[in-house]
Amino acid sequence: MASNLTKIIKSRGTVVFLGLAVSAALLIMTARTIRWNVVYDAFATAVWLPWIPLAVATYTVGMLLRGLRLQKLVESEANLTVATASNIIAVGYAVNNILPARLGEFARAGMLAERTGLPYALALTVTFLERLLDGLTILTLFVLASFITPTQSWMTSASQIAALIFAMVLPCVLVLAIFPQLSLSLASQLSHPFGRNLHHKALALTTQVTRGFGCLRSGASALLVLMLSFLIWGIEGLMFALVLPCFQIVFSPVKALAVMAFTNLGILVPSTPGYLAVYHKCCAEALQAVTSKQGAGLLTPFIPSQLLETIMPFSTTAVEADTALSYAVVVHLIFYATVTIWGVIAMARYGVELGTTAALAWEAKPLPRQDLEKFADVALITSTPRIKSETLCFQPSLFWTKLAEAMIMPPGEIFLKEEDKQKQALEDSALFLCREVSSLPRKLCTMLKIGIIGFRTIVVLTNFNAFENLSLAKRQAIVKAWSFGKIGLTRKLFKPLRSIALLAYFEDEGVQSALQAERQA
Amino acid sequence: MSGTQEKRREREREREREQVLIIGSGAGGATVAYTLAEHGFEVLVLEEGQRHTLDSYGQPPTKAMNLLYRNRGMMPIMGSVPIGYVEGRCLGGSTEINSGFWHRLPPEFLLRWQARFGLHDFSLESLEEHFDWAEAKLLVQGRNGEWPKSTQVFHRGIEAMRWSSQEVKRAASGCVNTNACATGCPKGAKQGVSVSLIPQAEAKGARFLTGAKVKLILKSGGKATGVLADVVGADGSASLVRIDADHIFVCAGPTQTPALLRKSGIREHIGDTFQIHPMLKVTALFDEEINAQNSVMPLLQVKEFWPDISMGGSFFSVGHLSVNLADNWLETSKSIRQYRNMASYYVGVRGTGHGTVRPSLSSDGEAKLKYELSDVDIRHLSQGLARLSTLLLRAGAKEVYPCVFGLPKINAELEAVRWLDESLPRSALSLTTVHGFSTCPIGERPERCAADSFGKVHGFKNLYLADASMLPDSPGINPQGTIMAIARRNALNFVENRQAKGE
Repeated sequence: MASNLTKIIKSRGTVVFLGLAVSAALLIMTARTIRWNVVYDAFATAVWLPWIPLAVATYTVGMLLRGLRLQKLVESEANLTVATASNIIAVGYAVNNILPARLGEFARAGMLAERTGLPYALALTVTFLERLLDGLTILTLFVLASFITPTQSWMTSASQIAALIFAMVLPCVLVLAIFPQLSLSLASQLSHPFGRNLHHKALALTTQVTRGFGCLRSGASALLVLMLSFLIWGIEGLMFALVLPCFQIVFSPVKALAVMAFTNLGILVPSTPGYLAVYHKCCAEALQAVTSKQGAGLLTPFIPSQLLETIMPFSTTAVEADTALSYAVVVHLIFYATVTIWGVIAMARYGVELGTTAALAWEAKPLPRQDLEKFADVALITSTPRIKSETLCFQPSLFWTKLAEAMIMPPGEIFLKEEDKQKQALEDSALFLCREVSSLPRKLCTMLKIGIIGFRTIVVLTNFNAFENLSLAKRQAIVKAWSFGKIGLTRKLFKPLRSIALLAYFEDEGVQSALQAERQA
Repeated sequence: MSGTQEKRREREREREREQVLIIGSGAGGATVAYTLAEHGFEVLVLEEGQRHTLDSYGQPPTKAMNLLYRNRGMMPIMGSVPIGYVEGRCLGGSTEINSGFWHRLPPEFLLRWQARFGLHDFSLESLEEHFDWAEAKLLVQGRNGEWPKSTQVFHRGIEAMRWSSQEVKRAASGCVNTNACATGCPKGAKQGVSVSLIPQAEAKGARFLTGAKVKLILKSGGKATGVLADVVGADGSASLVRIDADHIFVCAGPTQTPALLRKSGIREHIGDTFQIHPMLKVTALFDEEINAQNSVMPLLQVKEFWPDISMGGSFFSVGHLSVNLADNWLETSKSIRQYRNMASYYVGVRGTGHGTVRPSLSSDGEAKLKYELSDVDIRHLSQGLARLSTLLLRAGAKEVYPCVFGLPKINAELEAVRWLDESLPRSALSLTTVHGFSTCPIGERPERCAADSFGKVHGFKNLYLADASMLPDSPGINPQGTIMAIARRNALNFVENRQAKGE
């Protein structure tokens, strides 16, 4: 176990060494330039209440929202409560704060696998997807905040670079999410000339990312996860804003958002566990940058002045370097202490040792598959776990059973008189119908979905009740009007549904037996 | 692992190449695999579907569609009239779910393809040995013994109309009438290639990797260097693998071959000329019991109006009957109680419309099928309906139910012949097809062909085609025999060329 941990650290040795060096250099730089007496004064005159408890509470809410997002990401693969999901995230952050080389990401994936029974590879993919969403959200918030608040020129340049990165990354992410086949082709074509190893790495990365996006089964769930990401980082920005008044700095959510975003982008630079020095340097510099300049940002003309005054008061005064460092120390402490304590408690509660978690994460790397070993010429690039639940565009429900019944049974006809068997046959037909139409090409599936939503909406509007709650006679009348009426479009909508439902129903053993018995009688 | 070791391993990997990689294990793929393995080539076949035993065959259509069919049988061809299309996705491909009907390529098509597509070395004589070989391998023969009732009544109608007809040979020696052709023959009587050619190819050393979906053909210059494939394991996990090969045969069928080639950036005359045999189904109700649900489909085909219009028997089960009646269900639902007195037939036309196959940009690059029926197709379908209905009424049918919305039944010949002069409305038609081809036509005419006369893709030194996609255009018959004969011809040509080069 310990040897596995050592192996991971060794494999990321360069990153660990670089992190230590960067943190040491920044620590020395800060120690040499800082006026410690001013820092002492800042702390002495700081107003802690109610801001610190509020900031801690806000950060805690943010963590719970992260848990909710994780729950949404894996909900089709595993059952996970928000509390457990939040604990998993806290463990990841805590390990990042204690161990080097961002091992927390592996620990998080390891614990996710352990808690849910998900394959390790999928847990890693989900973790990667979360971090990707975080990165994109922070970039967006940084660009937006920097365009609203006036900043020093270096930060404006940083935001322009961030905007450029965002503009380049977003299309790639969209292509990966929406066009997995195209992504694979592009990755293959672009990396093929650079040799087999690089080709395989590019393809493995593309495959894992597209598989990760596969967790977002529908546009609705993708939108929800995206909205949660913005909420999470908006709340993190609020935590940064709540610490401002402690040091008599004017409360400004927009400026705090810019500081939060820059700080979180800054800690991508390798550093010690807990991002010591790097976090402080980025946070302090960003705070000075956003408070030292008055005036209007690029986007301020488009924002109503009253709203602008609330989110970014004009009366802000420049913050001294020493006060900014004091602010950074407090913000870091809130983040560090809250999540580390939470994470350690969670680890203790679940009995997860760091070494075990790291070892699990190590095992998550793609392994050779036994069933492919007999094919010596088959080179394994990467493996992705099975998608647990069947991906159905149309989920079987009471609506589909009632629809199947109305389509199959013309008025006055009963093919199967035994109620239990009839109910079962109709439910099976509805399930078959849902599976079949879900197998249609994606475009047709979407068109059909729109058609069904339209049908259900019109039924509710005209009958003041959902289709499935109507009597059989009423449903038969509606289905008749839509299936055999004058509007070609509705006929086209119902024709495949009716045919598939009929096929399933009349292939049912019970129905066939009933037809046979009826004939013999 | 040290750098030197890594480099050595890398060099070893470079040497690990398949000699011949075949994508797809249907009629074309299995034929090429057998032929090349027989001649000593190392062959690996990648099949997207799974290997199934006879125990899992013959299940109800609702289960078989999930097991053996691509997209659970949901592959509509889009156009002003959507056309239902199905193909197999399992070891053996569509040969596992077809009727096993067997035809040789009619000479007039052979000549036509020579003239129109410049096919070299493509004579009746040169193809004969390949048809002989395929028929021997698949035990193709006519039916011994009495015809099933659905064939008998059809024959009665043909006799009454004095039309020419043909009893179709089948690759189904020992057929015991389980009526399970479309769901996989559980008796192993129908010679899908999974019970005939594939075991023989395996005995000769060919290897078959199932659950392997090829996502991309890798290419460099004018050579195909290998493929990227997703291999699904027993536990449902998927592995992306790369397989390098000296020669690649794409035999993934008329829809998947063009989609794969286009996804891989090979587009010249690929997927631009999708041809089908549009079919209109008709069910007839007789006074006598037919019990079509318990017997093999009707074996006779009307040839009087061939090649433009063909008529024959269709798969029948109570479920399929309900689908045939679905267009006018309010009027026809009562008839289903008389299913024992019913049988289904079809009018098939040699499509003259225009179709395409393209990989979808979104999702996994699935094939998007389009076909626009021509006015000639509609005329032929209308006339076919008139003639088939007349035939069935003459055979003793009380009522004939066509798959045409607004035309619940025809019960008099005078009603039927109306469609000799009038065209059925497009929007009323419910059409299906099980035959697709010509998406990558072969021949020496570079302005219209994707590959040369022997299936080598134009512009590539080592990429070949051998499936229904290579047929230059619609042959007007069940195409399995033609696919196998041409695939063997092309495979033997490949062997000759390699042997000439000392491989």
